[in-house]
Amino acid sequence: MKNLSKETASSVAEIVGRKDDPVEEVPLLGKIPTCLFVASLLFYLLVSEGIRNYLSFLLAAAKRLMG
Amino acid sequence: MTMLACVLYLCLCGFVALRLLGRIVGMRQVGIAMRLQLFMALACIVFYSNFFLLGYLSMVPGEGVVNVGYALVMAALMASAAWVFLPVPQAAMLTGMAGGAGMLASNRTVAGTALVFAAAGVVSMFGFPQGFEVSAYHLPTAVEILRTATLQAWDGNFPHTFPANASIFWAFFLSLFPERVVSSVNLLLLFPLVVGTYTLSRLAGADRNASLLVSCGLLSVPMIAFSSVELSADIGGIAFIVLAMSFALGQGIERRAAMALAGACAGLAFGFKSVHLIGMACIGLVVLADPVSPGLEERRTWRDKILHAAIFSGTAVLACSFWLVRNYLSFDNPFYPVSLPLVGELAGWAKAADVDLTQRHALQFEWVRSPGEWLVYPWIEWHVLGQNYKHSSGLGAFFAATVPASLALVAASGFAGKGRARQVRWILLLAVVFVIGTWWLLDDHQPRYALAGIPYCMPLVAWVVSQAHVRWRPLLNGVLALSIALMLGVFLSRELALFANKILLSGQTTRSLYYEYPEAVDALPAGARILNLAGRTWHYPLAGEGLRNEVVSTPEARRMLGLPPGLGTPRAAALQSAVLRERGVSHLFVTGAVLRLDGCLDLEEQGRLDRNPHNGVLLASPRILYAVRYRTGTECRVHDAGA
Repeated sequence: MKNLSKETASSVAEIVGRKDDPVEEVPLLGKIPTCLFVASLLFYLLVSEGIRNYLSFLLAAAKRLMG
Repeated sequence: MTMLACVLYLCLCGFVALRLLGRIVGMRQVGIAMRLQLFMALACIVFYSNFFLLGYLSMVPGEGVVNVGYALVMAALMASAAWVFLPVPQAAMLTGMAGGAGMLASNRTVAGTALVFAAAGVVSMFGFPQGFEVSAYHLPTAVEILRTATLQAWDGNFPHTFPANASIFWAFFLSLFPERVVSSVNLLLLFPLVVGTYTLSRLAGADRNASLLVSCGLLSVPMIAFSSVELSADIGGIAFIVLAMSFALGQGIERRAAMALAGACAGLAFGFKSVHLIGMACIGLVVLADPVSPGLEERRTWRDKILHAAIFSGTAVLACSFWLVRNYLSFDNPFYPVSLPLVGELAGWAKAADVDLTQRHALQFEWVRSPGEWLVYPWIEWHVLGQNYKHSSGLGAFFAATVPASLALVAASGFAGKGRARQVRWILLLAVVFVIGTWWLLDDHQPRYALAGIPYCMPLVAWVVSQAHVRWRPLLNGVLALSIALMLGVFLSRELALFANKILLSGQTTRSLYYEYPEAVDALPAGARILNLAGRTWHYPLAGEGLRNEVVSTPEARRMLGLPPGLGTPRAAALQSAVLRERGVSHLFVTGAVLRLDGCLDLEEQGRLDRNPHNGVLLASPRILYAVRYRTGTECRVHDAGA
């Protein structure tokens, strides 16, 4: 229980519970995250076997529903 | 009465957790997320500690005391002690946490994600618990806990000897709710997982919105989403390992208390899945190195660090000590059936003879066509049977879009930023490398064995999102929300399709229809013991309505009948009346195995299912329940006695 005030000052509370919610520094990465994430997502949508099989499943389900 | 005891038990666990929370938090200004995290961790620790104590008591032969009634008595004692010795105003604590839950729900992505999981939970309640490992050993172990009121292993076959925290959880809820409702209780364990991920994200320097977004993104990973509506042990395991890391890195509460909580959560994670030994080792190194500096004026000495590491290790061992002691006494190896390299050999611990590692390397070819394909698995998600999204397959759009790029960006910008958040990011990055690297070295490349690495990636994604320029944030948030929505749509539609197929179209509304076994299984007399020669997934269904039947597992049946040890379904078996009589077998369940009888027993068919309930087509192997009739002639009695 030593040094309570100092420990509190550097507490999770300040990070987790802060009201104004500032980013800790000036944003470093500009548009890089957006570009990378979008490119990666598009690549995923193009090559993912999971998505392809899911679309086939949806198509089959739709056909079955329509008789 | 049992239901009432269960409700009271949960209330008392919550009460003790609130009192402890008040003691730990004290006058500190601890944030709501951390309070929620503390409360959940403490409630789970209290919940399990009573059952472990009862488990120790039940080690006295013949004293089955692991049940909700005794647990309630112990919880009442704990609550009384907390009432007397920890006088804190829990009403204020509750108000704070309710406010936190409200804050979380106010975010549209969070609310949407919660709605999807709530809908999936409701839909799965129309059916019964599902999943391969769930039916093969998690739930059968839970049934065994309920039947014997002990925490002893179901039998000596290796899958049934793992630590069984998940089974304790299911056994408790099987006492509280109807079986259908229990299908969805794994969803409860998503709360600590999400809160732990959120807290870690904030510690890594991410802003609130990014932290909430990645917490939802984590749930959109198909392996996690689908596991949450099965009763798998993976969700509990990763939830507690994330909480452990969060306490180890957090600084808001007194350090020794944080270390104790980190250790207890790590120990609970091991109790869910032995594979979290890797995560425990990783967190242990973090605690020992203690690189997160709290401030120049409060540098910790090596003495402090060793003390903290000792507290972490001590509580970790304590939290899983029951399983270690049980397995040491029963199998001569505390980590049984895991063989620890070097340590195990030096200590002379027994190895599990029935663990077959020869196919370990080949198992990965269910998900990749060559080992190198793991590098692109997040995008390709190939599966040999086309089951790309299930409890053990698929990382999903959010993961593919964000995680590889974020890991690269965090590594590339390693020296950017300052202070504690940067150190947290580095630790998480190294933890991901540690978990994935160990997974790779162990050569058993089932994706879910690396699941613990995924929540550690999310805070890094959150930080990268936070570092996007403010002009790009709306687009970025939109793209991420879209990828989450896509995968949650896949998840929910699959669950709805299963519901439509099994419940609405095929009308498989009763237990026997749902699991597709002969109805006679549900009508067996009390004390029936079924020898299961049909395969491991039948272990749980054969327990029958009200879970009254005792089941002899398929691996155990193989041992009994002198077949080579293994987990596979036997194709043929010679039934010896002496062996079956000695084990009290009253019934037999088979799906195509050729049986030879020894002349001192007869089989009387009691039920049969030979058509696929979906389409009425004849099954290649009918599912047949036989009653075993032992002949009582002098020759057979002498024969049995001689055998």
